[in-house]
Amino acid sequence: MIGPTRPRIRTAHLFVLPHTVFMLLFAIGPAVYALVISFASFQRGTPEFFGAGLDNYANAYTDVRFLPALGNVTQFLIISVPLGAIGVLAIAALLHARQDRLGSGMRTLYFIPGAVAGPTLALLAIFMLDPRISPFAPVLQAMGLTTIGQVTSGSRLPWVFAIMYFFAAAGGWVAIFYGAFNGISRETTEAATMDGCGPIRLAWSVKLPLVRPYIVYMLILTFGANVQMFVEPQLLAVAAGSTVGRYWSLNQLSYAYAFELSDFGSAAAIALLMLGVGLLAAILIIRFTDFFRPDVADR
Amino acid sequence: MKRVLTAGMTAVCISGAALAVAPAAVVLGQDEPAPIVAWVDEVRIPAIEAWQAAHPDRAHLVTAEAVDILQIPARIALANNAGSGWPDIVFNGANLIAMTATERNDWALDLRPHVSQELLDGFEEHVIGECIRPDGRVICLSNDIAQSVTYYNQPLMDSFGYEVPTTWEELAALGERVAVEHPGYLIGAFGDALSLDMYFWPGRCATGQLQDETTVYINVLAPECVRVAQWVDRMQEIGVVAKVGTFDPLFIDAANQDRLLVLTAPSWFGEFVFGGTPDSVYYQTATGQLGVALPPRWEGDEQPYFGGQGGASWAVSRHTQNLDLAVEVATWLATADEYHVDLAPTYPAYKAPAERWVAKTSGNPLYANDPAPIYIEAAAFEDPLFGIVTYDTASIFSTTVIAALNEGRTVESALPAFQEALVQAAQIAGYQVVTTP
Repeated sequence: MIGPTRPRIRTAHLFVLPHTVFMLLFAIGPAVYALVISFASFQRGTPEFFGAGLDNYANAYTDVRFLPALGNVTQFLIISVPLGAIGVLAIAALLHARQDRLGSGMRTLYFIPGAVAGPTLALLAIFMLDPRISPFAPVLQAMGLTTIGQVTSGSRLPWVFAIMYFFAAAGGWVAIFYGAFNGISRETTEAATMDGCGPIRLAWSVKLPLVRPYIVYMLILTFGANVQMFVEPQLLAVAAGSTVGRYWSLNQLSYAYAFELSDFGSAAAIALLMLGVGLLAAILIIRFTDFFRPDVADR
Repeated sequence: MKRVLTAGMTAVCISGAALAVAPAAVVLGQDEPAPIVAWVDEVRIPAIEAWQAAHPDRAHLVTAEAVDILQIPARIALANNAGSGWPDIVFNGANLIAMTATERNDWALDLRPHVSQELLDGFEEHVIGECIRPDGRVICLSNDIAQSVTYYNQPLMDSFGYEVPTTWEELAALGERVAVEHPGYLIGAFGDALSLDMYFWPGRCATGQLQDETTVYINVLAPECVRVAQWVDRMQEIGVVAKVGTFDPLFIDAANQDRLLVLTAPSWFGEFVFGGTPDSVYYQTATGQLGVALPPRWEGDEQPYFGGQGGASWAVSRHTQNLDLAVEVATWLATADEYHVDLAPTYPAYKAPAERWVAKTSGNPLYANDPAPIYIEAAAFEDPLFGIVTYDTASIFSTTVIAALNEGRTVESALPAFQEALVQAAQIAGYQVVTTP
């Protein structure tokens, strides 16, 4: 038993090694550091470790800007996570149903925004949102919006951000799901077609159940990434004519603590909250689905 | 716990060792003084180069790094965390320098023991006042002044037969006439963060007046603020003050199509926004069309006032390894003719070069009259009550007042929300807030 297993484990380890190294350096390392400094006090610039006890947590979570930011991010998540999942699956199913030149051309088209770095894409989106220079100006103006300040005001913001996030992330996920649909054996889909499945029925009742683990994976990653929204509101906050606050999202509030008030302890307390929420969501989703049952993908 | 103690003792031992070798280090220092680093914006790189040119024997000791100066407080906070990596000199607005001089950051050096009172007296009094904290610390030396002046289109004013207004009330009366006689022409713009500086500060509105180091007076519901809000609301209602900022494409178009009659703006607008050169924002030709006058005052006030509006300053690090050189260079940068007369793009805060600087603008064919005496007189109007606080009033103004305008509400209706947000921000930054002076 041991003999044949061993080399396989070694090869697997080699494959995950680069990821593990980077995860230690840029994810787990900083998270542990955040945990340490969330108990530190920063009275005179340099950290005094374990000098604050739980003060930073009390301070950050009772800040008057905390609940509004939490509310904003919650509204955004309620819109962006389902919108992202439904949109991605619909596009991928459509593309997969149409396997010709148009289909593959569209696939590339959807992927392009995902290939552009986040902040650049956010800047582009800001241009798209300005009713005076946007290619969608007639649509925006038909909605009675004449300045970017109006487009990005109040209750519209979670929708605006959800759309920005969708176009930033959708392309990559569409490619992944297209690949997943391709992985479904042709016998299965042909059998379904023989039994009288139309393209919609085929997508809904056959293809989607077969790629469920990928959907779970997408939900976890989307939730984790969206909880930490930062670049989009931060760039909108400094865009001319926009009135988005610099404390709109939790991550912005954390940033403000660190770099406006030099209070890295309270900043870490908020950052850890986001990590905690993301982890909790992942655990819940995994717990109540069969994500880690290896046979699912082969079914 | 034991491990922490051991680490602490090790640290003590190491610093003890450092003390033991200190005399040797000083001797070394006499041979080759420690170099210094200055963080400046792109525009001020020539200032450092001018110092190097004037001091060729020591030029190699000063290095300039161009940075995003709005990020300087953040980068200093990071250096504090790391315990190293501080700049020796920075160029920044007095409000951002104040952020680095809080107890928590403790970066900016108190220059009081290192510069003479005579030097401080050489600056425009209320402008250097931005650098002097209520407790007496001098945390920076002013670089330039962004005094308010009134710009007007001389040919338009002549052809319409209008007089240049000297009070806000007269400007309002002019606005009422323009709305009836020449609709479509503008006498101002109110719609971005700069509107706070351009309209509320001349009204002496208490968005954050320091009483002492930890107490701030905030009351934007006071008459000084309400008069400004009502003025703007009325002028926007009749359409003579644009509902966008001065750098919005709509307003730029209006200026370039000669529909801008009067604009009260900071003095850097003359050379950098109106300009009169092919790449200027407003006027791409210089045909003697731009008139410059003293800014309006409110009838109840004895004189006009202005707030910060972008004037910046030089500060020195408490951590510098070469204190004498850092103070010398910062002083030179704030005062020297070689920089401020020959190279500086802005009106100098130091009085001696200022007079020679304005003489250069007199020759610009853009102006209808000589702006030099106007700039000099207007420089003295900085409001002594104008407070340098360590939180950002401009972004609060944006998210409350400008947001209300975008939703179709009036400026006056947004004042209670503005007040509440300012008080919150001040308290978060650690101030005691009072609502009566």
